[in-house]
Amino acid sequence: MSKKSILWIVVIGVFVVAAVLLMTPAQAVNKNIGNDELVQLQSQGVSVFDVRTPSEFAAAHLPGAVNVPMDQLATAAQSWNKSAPVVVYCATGARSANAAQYLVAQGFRKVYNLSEGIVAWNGQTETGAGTGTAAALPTSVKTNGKPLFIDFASST
Amino acid sequence: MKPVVDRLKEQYGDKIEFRRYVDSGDPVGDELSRQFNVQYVPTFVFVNADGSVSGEPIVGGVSAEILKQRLDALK
Repeated sequence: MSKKSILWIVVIGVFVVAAVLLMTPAQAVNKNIGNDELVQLQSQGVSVFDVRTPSEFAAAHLPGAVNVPMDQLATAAQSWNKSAPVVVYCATGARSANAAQYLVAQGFRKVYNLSEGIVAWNGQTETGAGTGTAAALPTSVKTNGKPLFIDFASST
Repeated sequence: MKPVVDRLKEQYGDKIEFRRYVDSGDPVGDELSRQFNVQYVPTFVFVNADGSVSGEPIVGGVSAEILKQRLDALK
C-alpha cells in the first residue's frame, strides 16, 4: 500500500471519528456523591429532592430539600428543567439510585445521587412536612369571600 | 396541567375563585409567588374563604382526583 493510500485512510478515519463524536449527544451525568459534594452543590443552588415517603421526610430531612416520594416522581419531574442539575436522596441511597436512573432516562442532563442517603448525612436536618422554608410561608391570603385556588403555572 | 385545571374551574368555578399566575409580570402574582417561595411550576395553593391557607401547597404535576380532594376540603 502506498504512502498516499495510507494518508487517505488516516484522513478519512479522522473525519469518521469526528463525525461520530459530533453526532453523539454529550453523556448525561448520573453520579453518586457524598456529603461534601452535596454541600458544594447546595451552595450553588442546586435543587435537592427527597424521594422518601412524606412521613420519613417529616421526621428529618436535609435543609431546603423538597419531598417528592417515588410514586410521585414521574408526575412531578414533568415540570422540572431537564438541563438544570438535580440531587436526589433517600434513606440509604437505594431508592434515590432508582430515581436518578429514571431521571437520566427521561433526559435529565445532570443527576446526582447522595449515595449513602440521609443516614450517613453529617450536617443539620430539619423536621416537618414543608420544604425547609415552610415556616416562613404565609398562613393567610386575602380572598374575595370565596375559597381560593391559586395556580402558579407554566405557560402550557 | 392547564386542561386539568380548566376542567376543575368549570366544575368548581361558581363556588371557588380560581387564580392563575403564569411566569412573571403580574405584581400580585409575583408577590404571592415570592411569599409562597414558589420554585417550581405548577405549584398549587389552597385558601379557605376566611383567608386561611388550607394545608401545604402542592408542588409539581398532580392528578385531578387529588386536586378535587383538596378543593372539596375548602371551607
